[in-house]
Amino acid sequence: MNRKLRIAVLAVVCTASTSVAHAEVSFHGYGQTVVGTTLSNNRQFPNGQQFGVPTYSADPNFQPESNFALQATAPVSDSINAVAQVLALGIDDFQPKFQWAYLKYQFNDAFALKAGRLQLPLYIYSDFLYVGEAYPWIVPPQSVYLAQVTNYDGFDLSAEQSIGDWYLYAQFYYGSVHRDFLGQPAPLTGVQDELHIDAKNNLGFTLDATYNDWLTLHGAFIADRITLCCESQIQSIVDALYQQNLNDGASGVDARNDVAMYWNAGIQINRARWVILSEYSGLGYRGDSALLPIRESAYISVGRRIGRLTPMVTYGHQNQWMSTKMTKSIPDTAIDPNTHVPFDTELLVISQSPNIRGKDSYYGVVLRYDLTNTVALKLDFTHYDSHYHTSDYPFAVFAGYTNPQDANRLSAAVTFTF
Amino acid sequence: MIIAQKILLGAITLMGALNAYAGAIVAAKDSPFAATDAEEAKKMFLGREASIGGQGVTVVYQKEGETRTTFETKILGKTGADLTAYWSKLIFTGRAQAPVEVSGDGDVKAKVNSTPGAVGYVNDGAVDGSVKVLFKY
Repeated sequence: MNRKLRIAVLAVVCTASTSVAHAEVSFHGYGQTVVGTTLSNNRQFPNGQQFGVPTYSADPNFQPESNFALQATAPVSDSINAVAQVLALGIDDFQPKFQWAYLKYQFNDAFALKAGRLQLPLYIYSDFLYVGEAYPWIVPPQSVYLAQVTNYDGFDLSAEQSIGDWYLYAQFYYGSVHRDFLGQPAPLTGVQDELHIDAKNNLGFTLDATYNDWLTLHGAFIADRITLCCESQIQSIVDALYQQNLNDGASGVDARNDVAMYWNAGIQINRARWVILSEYSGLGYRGDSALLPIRESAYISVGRRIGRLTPMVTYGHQNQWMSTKMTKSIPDTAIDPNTHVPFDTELLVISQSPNIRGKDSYYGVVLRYDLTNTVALKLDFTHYDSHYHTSDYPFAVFAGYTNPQDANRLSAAVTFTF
Repeated sequence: MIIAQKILLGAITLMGALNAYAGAIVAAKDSPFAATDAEEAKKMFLGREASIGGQGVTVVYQKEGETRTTFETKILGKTGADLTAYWSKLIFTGRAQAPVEVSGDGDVKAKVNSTPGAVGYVNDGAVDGSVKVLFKY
């Protein structure tokens, strides 16, 4: 959403109270203060592609998972609300940014339309990703909650209906995403590329079906045209392929306007003081894939409420790899003129790197204590177990990659809403 | 005879106690909302009824205390932090307006009468002619 539109929505929020009698702008907020450590001088907890879990090291760090947000809601008319939420993340040095800024039109009891900057509903907890009060963990399980992009600019049509003991909530949405971020450091030079993701024509839907308030089934699907730029190693290979008139190969390798598809299925059970939460998600591409990671991941958490305490254990795993189908149109003998290495070999090196070919597990235990209805204390211990071994991938050894290290994370949090 | 009368009086009192309601869901005296049932009441107070018959619904809660705990246990099936987490999900996604919170039965009655579409809950003993009862629990 461009800056002018965001300012316009904020202006509507701030002035709405003067235009609607008896209506006021309401303010709510949430936040959490989190401190974490890996308890070990030579270990860092995984980072990179993973949402909400930047690097922790041996020194206790308050920044990575702390946040603070303020939300203003203003009725513009009987059917229209303006909503703006500003979120400051510790990992961004607490720079405030618009997480939401939209207008919502309530057609009737069942249908509503939102337009503006909206949360991308990839996961069960996407809509309240940073609201620690809303879930038992300090951050949602990172084996599944991986997306670096969490919001989009566009439209969302929602529908809700009760049918017998079931309550159904569906969303259909369309929009676009643009995000800039730093890539993984190259193994030998440590250089990080400045990358851009452009995802256009995002079209997706979600469906939540809740039975008698204790069982929720969740499904989500999204497809879009994605362009990833500008990973220098891949870009130089693409340019060289075009130079050699290997246009089909270049087009296959180039991550430009490829159709990406993502899906998620989840379940929440909250009954007889037992809490069971689980999600399973996948990411893939249509046709000849570009050098983009294919991924499947899942977690399951089981907890029990004991008075104000909720202990919970979590297991998560993630499996990520890169298809090399696009290389079938590149002759085995074709050589990259810049490196004098066969293109096939170069692409194998990339596809076998631990940045791409990941397989890992997470084992966690968290204890949540509800101090009051709006303040909770949490203590979490999570072990990260990497199953990637460079010895299985000779080209990764050749390129200088090393095994990602196992690591532990101990963190404590205070979460609140107001 | 006196003993029998005492026993009868005790029985009547006990029956009265067993039939006594803890509270009532109320709206303005002239509210367009009709009497409802437990299921509809639960939907209303969980933010699932943005409007009824075209009239927007404003949900009024009482501040933390015995009246609120009783209402949440009997009607919502959620209390305390569990309910806060539920509302957090609605508020911070813009799916519902946060409920208004007031202190005590008197404030609830004043609020429902001054705000079109407002519904709240009071102790049974606080019900009087200034409000319309939608449901007793």
